[in-house]
Parts: sequence; C-alpha cells; structure tokens
Amino acid sequence: MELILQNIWVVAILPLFSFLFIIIGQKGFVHLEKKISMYLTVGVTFLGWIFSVFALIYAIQNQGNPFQENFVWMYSGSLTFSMGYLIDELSSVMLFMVTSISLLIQIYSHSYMKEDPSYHRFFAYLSFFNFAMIGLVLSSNLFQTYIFWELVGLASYLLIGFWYKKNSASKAAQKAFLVNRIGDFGLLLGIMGFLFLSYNFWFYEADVLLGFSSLKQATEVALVSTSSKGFFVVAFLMFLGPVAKSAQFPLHVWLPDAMEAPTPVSALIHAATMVAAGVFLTARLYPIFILSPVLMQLIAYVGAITALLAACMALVQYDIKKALAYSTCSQLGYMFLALGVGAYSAGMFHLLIHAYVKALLFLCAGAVIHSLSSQQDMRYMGGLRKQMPVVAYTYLIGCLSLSGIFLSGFSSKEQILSGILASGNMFLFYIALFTAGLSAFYIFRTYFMVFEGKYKGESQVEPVSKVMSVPLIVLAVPSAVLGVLLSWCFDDFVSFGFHTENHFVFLPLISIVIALFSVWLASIFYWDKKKLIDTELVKLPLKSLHRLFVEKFFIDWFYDKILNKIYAKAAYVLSKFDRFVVDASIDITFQSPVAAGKLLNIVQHKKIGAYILVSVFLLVLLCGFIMSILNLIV
Amino acid sequence: MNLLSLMTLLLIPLVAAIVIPLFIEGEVAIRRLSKIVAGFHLIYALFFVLYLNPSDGAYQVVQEMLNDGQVWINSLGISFSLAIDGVSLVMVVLTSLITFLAIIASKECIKDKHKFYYSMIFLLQFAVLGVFLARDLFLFFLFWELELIPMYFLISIWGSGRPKYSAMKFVLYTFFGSLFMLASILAIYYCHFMKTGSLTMDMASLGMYNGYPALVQFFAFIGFFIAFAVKFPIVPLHSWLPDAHVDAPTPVSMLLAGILLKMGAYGLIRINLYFFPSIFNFFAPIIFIFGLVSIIYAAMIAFAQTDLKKLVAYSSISHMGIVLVGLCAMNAIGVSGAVAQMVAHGLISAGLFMMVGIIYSRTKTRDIEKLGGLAQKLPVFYYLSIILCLASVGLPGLVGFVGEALCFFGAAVSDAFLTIQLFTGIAFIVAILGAVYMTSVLKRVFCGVMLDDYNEIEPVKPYEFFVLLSLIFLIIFFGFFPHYLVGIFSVPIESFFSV
Repeated sequence: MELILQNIWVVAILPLFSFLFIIIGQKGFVHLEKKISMYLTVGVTFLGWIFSVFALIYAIQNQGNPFQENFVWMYSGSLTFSMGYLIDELSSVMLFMVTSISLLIQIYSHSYMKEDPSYHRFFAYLSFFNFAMIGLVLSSNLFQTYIFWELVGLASYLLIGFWYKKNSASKAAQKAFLVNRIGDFGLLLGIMGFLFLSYNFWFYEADVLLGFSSLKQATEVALVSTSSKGFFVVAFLMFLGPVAKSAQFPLHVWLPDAMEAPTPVSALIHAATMVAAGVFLTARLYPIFILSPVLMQLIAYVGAITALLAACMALVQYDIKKALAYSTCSQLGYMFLALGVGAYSAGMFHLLIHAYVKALLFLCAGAVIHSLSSQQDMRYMGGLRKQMPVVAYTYLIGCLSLSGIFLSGFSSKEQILSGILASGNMFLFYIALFTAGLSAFYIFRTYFMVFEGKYKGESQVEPVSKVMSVPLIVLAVPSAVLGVLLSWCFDDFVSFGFHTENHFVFLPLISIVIALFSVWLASIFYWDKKKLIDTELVKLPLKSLHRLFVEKFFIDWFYDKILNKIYAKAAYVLSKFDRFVVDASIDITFQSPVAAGKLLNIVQHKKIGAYILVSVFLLVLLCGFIMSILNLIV
Repeated sequence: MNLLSLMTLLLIPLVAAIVIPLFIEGEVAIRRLSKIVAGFHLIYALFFVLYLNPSDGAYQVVQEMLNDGQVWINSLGISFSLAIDGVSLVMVVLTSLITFLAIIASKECIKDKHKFYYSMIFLLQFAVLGVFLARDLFLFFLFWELELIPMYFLISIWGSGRPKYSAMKFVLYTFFGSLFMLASILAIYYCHFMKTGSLTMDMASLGMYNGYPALVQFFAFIGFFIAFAVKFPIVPLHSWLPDAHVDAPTPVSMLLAGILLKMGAYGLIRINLYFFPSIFNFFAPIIFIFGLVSIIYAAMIAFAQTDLKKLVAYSSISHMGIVLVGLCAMNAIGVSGAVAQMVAHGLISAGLFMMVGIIYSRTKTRDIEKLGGLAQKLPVFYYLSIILCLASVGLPGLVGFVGEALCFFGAAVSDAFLTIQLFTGIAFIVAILGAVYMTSVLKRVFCGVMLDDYNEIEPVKPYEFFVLLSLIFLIIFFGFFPHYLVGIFSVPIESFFSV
C-alpha cells in the first residue's frame, strides 16, 4: 500500500511518456499498427485506474489523514516552488472518476476514430490530457495546480482544433483558449495576491509553498493582514479560474463552441472531467472562499444564473451536442450553487454522478452521430431506437438519471435541493427547482427527437460496433445505481466539517413530480406518437423569448463586439499612433542633425561624416557641460 | 583552469572574423568553417557552466568574479579585464547558442558576399561577448559601440525593403543612447577620482564605491537608463526595432532579438541596479510604469499588425517589458525572474523569427491576410509553431512561464514601493493580450482552408528543423526543469540582495 502511494506520481507521468512515444514514433514504428497507440494509451490508463482504487482504499481507511510528498521544482530568493501529490478524500474520488471514465472513452475512441487519418495524434493528445488532468487532481499546492490547470487547457485547445482544416474548429479552439485565459489570469493573480497577504505564514511556518494542507492556517493569516474587501478581491480573482474552466456565466461562451471537437473528447474533457475541474478547485479552495460570505453568495448566484440560463438555451438547440453542452453548463451551475450555499458534499456528489451520466449521454450521442455519418442535427434524426436499441436504452438511463427520476441523479439532486433549503434562501431554491424541471424537459426533448417517432434523415443508418456499445453499457451502471449506493455514505466521506441534515420530507416527492411533469410536457411537444401541440404554436407568442434563447442572450455577440470592434479598433488606432506620432517624431528629431549636417557639407561631402562630426561636436559640448556641473557638486 | 580562459572565449570569434575573409575560399567551406567555429565556441562556453559549478550540485555558483585581466592603459586606470558570474554566464552561453543557430539558419537566405557576412557575424558575436564579459567600464562602452558596425552592415547589405534606412535608424538610436552613457561613465569616473584619488574604470570598484554625490548618482542613473532603454527597447524609444526586424534577414533578426536586446537588460542589471540600488529603488515606480506601457502598448499594436514579422517584433517589445517588472521588484525573486525572462525571450523570439523566415521563404509573403491553411502542407511545422507561440504566451511547462512567473511573483511579494501589487496586477494582463494575437496567428496562418498557391510548397528542410528543434528542446527542457536555468544565476543575485 505504502509502495503504491509513494509511487502514485507514475500515474501522471506514464501518460506523458506514452504521449511522447506516440508523437515521436508517429512516422516510424508506431505508424505500422494503429493498435499500438491504442493499447499503449489504454494500458497506461488502466494502470492508473488500478492505482486509483488503492488510493481510494487508503483515503477511506485514513480519513482526515492525507498522504503527501513534495519535491522542490524551482527556488529563487525566498520562494520555493514544489511539485508533489496529495491523496485525500477529494483527490482520490476525483482520481478514480477521471481514470475510469478516461479508460472507457479511450476504448470507445478506438472505434470512433478508426477511419480518421490522424488516429495516432488523437491518442497522443488523449494521453497528454490524462497527464495534465491527473497532475491537476493529485496536485499538492496551488502553484502546481495552476501549471496543470493551464496544461489541461492546452489539451482542450489542441483537441478542439483537432480538425484544423475546419475554420469553425480553429475558431472554437481560439475562443476556448482565450476565455480560459481570462480565468487563468484571474486565478494566477488571485494566487499572487493570496501569497502576498499570507507571505509571512508561508515563509516562516509552512513547509510547502501554497500547499493545500496548510491553506486553512494561511487563510487566517491572510484575513488578519487585510480588510474583508481586500480579501474578497483576492478570493474573487481566484474564483475567476473555476468560472472560466467550468463554463459559468458570464464566461460560459466557449463550451458550446467546443463541441467542434471529436465527440469522445466532448465526453471526456468537455463534460466529465476538465470542466468539472473548476468545481474541484472551488472545493479545494473552500477554506479561503468560506471566510468571505460575500463571495459565497456570489458563487451561489453565479451557479444559479448559469443553471437557469444554460437550461433555457438548451431548450432551443437542434444540434444534439450543443444541447448536451448547455446541459453540462447548467449542471455545473448546479454544483456551484451547492458549493455556494455550503452544501459541500452535495456539490461533489453531483460532480461525481454527473460525470458518469454526461459521459454516457455524450458517448450515446457520438454513437448516433457516427452511424448517421456525422449528422448532428436532431431534426434529421428520429426513431433510432429500433436500429440501435443499446444506445437508446442506455441514453434513456442517462436521461432519467439527469432529470432526477429515481436513478443516480435523483439522490444527488435531492441533496443539493435540501442543501439550498437548509441555507434558507428561497429565491435560489425556486430557481433550482425550476431549473430541475427545465433539465428534465430539454433532455427528454433530445431523447424523443432522436430515438422516438419516425426517421427523418436521408443518410444510411449504420450499425453501432461492439467496441462502442460496451463502454455505454458499463457507464450506464454507475449512472443508474451509483447515487443510490453512495447516498448514505458519501456525505461522511467527502465533507467540509459539517453536514446538511435538514431533510424536508416532501422534497423528494416534489422534485420527482416536477421532473415527471416536465417529461410529460416534453412528450406532448416532441414525441410524434403523443404529439398534442405543435412547437411552432408556442413559439409564436413567446417570439422574443425564443429569439433571446436562440441568440444566446446576446452574450457571444457582446464579446465578439468587444474583441473584434472595440479592441481591434483601439489596437489599430494605437498602431497608427505609433507609426505617425512616435516614429515620425523620432524621424524628425534625427532629421535635424541631417539638416545641420547639410550646413557642414562644406567641410564633408559624405553624410556619414556629417553625422559623426555633429555627434562628436555634441559629445564634446555635453562632456564639457557635465564636467563643469560635476565640478560644482564635488 | 588554464584551458578555460575568458580571453580565449572572447577572442575565438574575433580570430574567425579575421581568418574567414583572408584565407578561406568558397561558399561551402566558409559556411562549414563558421559552423565548426561557432559550434566549438558553444561547447567551450558550456564548459564554463560546468566549471562554475565544480561540485556535483548544479546549483552552486562561484560568487566572486574570475579575473583574467591585464593592464591596458595604465595612466587612465583602464584595464583589459574580463570577468564572469552567473548572470553574464547565461548571457554568454545564450550568445554562443543563438550565433551558432543563426549561422546554420543562414544557409539559404544569404546568397552573396559570404566572406563578409560570416566575418560580420563573428565580429558581432565578439562585440556582444565583450559587453557581457567586460569588467572594465571603458571596455564595456567600447564593445557596446563596436557592436554597431557589424549590425549596420548586416542589415544594410543583406536586408530587404529599406535596409539602409533601418540600419541607419538603428545606429543613430543606439548612438544617441550611447552619448548619455558616455557622459554618465565619465561622471562617475571623475567623481570616483575626485573623492578617492585613484583613477579606475574597474566596474567592481566603481560599483562598490558608494560615496558618489546624490545628484551625480541621479543623473548618471538616468544617462545609463536612456542608453539601455534604447537597446531594450522601452516604449517610446522602440521605433527602430520593428523597422530593423522587418528589413533584416532571418538570421540577423534572430541575433537581434535573441541577444542584442539582452545587452540593454544586462546593462540595467549590471550597472543601474548594481551601481545605484538606492536610486533604482527611487525610480522603481517610474520604471515600472515604463514597463507597463511597453507591455500593454506593444501587445495591442502587435494585434493590429498584418505583417507577421512586425507582429513578432512588437511581441518581442511586449515581452521585454516583463523584464522591467521583475527588475522593479527589487528582490532576488524578481531579478532572477528578469534574467530567466531574458533567456526565455532569447530562445522564444529567435524561434519565432525562424518560424516567420520559414514561412516567408516558401510563400514569399509575410502578410497574414494572404496566408492560411499551411498546417495541411506542413503539419509538423505547425506543431512546432504551436509550441513556440504558446511559449511566448507563457504557457506552463515552457520556459516563458518560468520567467514570467518569477517576475510576477517577485513583484507580488515585493515591497519596493507601495502600489507595486496593483501595478503587477495590471501588467499581468499581458497573459490575455499575448494570447489574443498569438492564437490569432496560429489560426490565420495555419488553420482553415488552404490557398491553391500553396499546394506545391516545399517541406521544411532538415537544417531548418535542426534550428527549430534545438530551440524548442531548450524551451521545453527549461520549462520542465527550470532549476537548471535559474540555479546558474540565482546565487549571485541572492548574494547581491542579502548584502
């Protein structure tokens, strides 16, 4: 046990080696056989999964007694930056989740990317992502977290722009990178501010700079050294990181566009793991955030607004992946809402369950897209249940779980709702309840449009391969039962000192009734067999609202204006200023000696000579001037 | 010990600069000899890294300066003395490396006057090494001026566009700055003589002496600062740089960005900071604002450029601004960060100029609007460019991050002046602005639909790959193991601040 824990860094490093191996061997030995890349990547991830099981066992046995080790990475002056790993309840759960989902998605990808000429590159990137993500999860201090935080962003950037021939893909990749950069900017600035506030603590008392295990004491020091406003600013800047990475309002705009990536990537990075890293980091920084009540309020409201807006936008999407992407945004908002009202373990529980559910939904969507030869528009689908029953039923399990109808999602959603209720903020509670209804509506909307009714597309429906079906079935199991299995003990395992015991007896009943009502509503709109109302009829009276949803609340439009109109214009004006004012004025200054030189042309005919002469003349003058001044002073 | 002499280190390029035009015939022979000499010089310089870290721990640096001097002009106290410490050592190795790579990169862009060209390259290397190695202030100034001659010819003869104009602009600018430097040198030399009665140009004794009148210190500081600000370059004294870069051939751009700009930063540390720490502290807020303006102003202008080379030139100005942030922190972390950022910038901008050169040699255009979809033809080159561009943005795991992080962390915990934390926060916006133009370059040059004109473009040649890969290897290596870089110079810097 000890041996495995001490060597758990292998889990993070091995994917890096397999990345290098594939990249370097891409043109040579690996090229001969596609399976080399796949076996290497999958094998390494499988090893990681085994390690993660041991880590989980350790964490269960030694609660409140984390295992950590650190190595010096760089030191300069009074700062020593370390790299290390920390195994505690939070990181072991995350590690298990990441490695297990990663493993299944890599197996799935083998079939999904089979025909792609860049097969090897895809697996290399997946390995690189694993390296970054596991490094992030195991990280023992904030500085290391920042490094891997950016590296997962890089993996995401590379994978969104995977098909670089497509203009839209490279545009989406850039957008993701830039929006995340805003978050990273805030995060590192917050880290620097926090370090400044608690500098004495880290310098004299702590062994690991910015280590998570002594974050609590450091926060107390920081709180003393500044006003509550200053502390809020630092905490707020840090919180920008999670806001961008987890696609929360108002930095959510990159996630729907990120669906340009191959579907397995959308499932792995943009649904299950990387986007959840924001929630994970918020949980890690909880000791800081919880001491700023204003920030906690802000977290809750950001979560609530995102949950609501994203759910609204999901209602009007016809692209199946985009609908799921907005759903991811919305569910992540739920988690932030939970963390913001103090329901720490409920938020983490929802993270865990949502990861499996959303990975399942995306993989199902991928299977559908794959067999319809890259058709993503749901208006050209329908009735696919008969052709691909496995996909349809696993998708249905995912839908039920996401809507919180009895399966896993039910227990986590119920915990969040009771957590909000316990905090006493009824406004947030109603938003959460309303969003729960919307979630059930939009997810069953996709189900009815894709799997029920008649097939409306033109392309041939190809059967789904076994390699793709197996991960779906495996993922359906935790999506269905994990919540029920863990609902009684997760609260004790991952917690932040207090529990949300307040159970409102009718709450489960109410949430299920709302979910069922929403499903019924979705069925009368979108299930051809039971269709009572034409969607066009509803659109008419709600025209402006519909436009607002379709135009994504004009947030993308707003950012586009800022970057392409205001900033580009300012940059253009500045460049003209540089050319015609700064540069020109210097030119004129240098022209004047030339004019003087022309006068001196009587003596010298070459211009260079004139320059030198004038310069020497000026030099002598200057020296004489300075000498005389110096004589006065000395 | 005798084998490793600073004098040899300095004179190898000079000998090569003389031998090549006199005795060697034929393009291939010249190029081959140049590569061998530069390569040997690089290896020789690397031995100094080992020598300065004698025991196994790579983190230990000999703190006192090596003195290898001879008296030169005795009556004026001017000696031909050279010295090396951690800071100058990394600069020397960087100079050797970039010169070596620039010579390799010259293979196809230089088509005529080979003798003269390689001779000038070596003369430039000689002058720059002299600046980094000089222990005598007069010698420092001499080498500082000497560097202008080869650079003038390199831009004006082998350049394109308006080479004469740009080269002259470069020379005049530097000359303008040098005047102030000379005045300052004379001022402190004279004061030192008046106070102590000994005539000396020795940088160690001039620097250690702290009896200069405050006013002299004040004006001497400003004089040196202007000279170094021109080379640095700090906005608003930067306008020679874009012109010089655009008109210079690729290898010369690499040298210009890779090592010449470092002379300014090196001078700021070696003279402004070490000679007048209290004045530096006094001016820190103003210098910081200069740095802030350089960072943001140049980053915004870079975004508006359509000429790829100009864009890289402005990004270079922006990233040199970060060096000022580190210096103004006035602590060991920040100054180590400044040196790390100098090295990082040297490697990255040399790589970026090589990238632009490769694109230009194939498409015959540097206009971003006319490029596109190159990734389809040159996929491997695309991945290498991603690494270079993101290194410039400061992505962790690459060397750019090490410099940036140390500079900004140094400033964040600094107590140089009251509002430095606030300023640091504003300056850090470079993280976003840099990403805006660099990702735009990647998107517009490499991604999307490819123009038909580029269907037939040549693949990247082995020698070009060699240059790119060597730079990228170092960028990644120092990014992952920064202590092999920071460890060389952090001890001398710490010892300066602990006194």
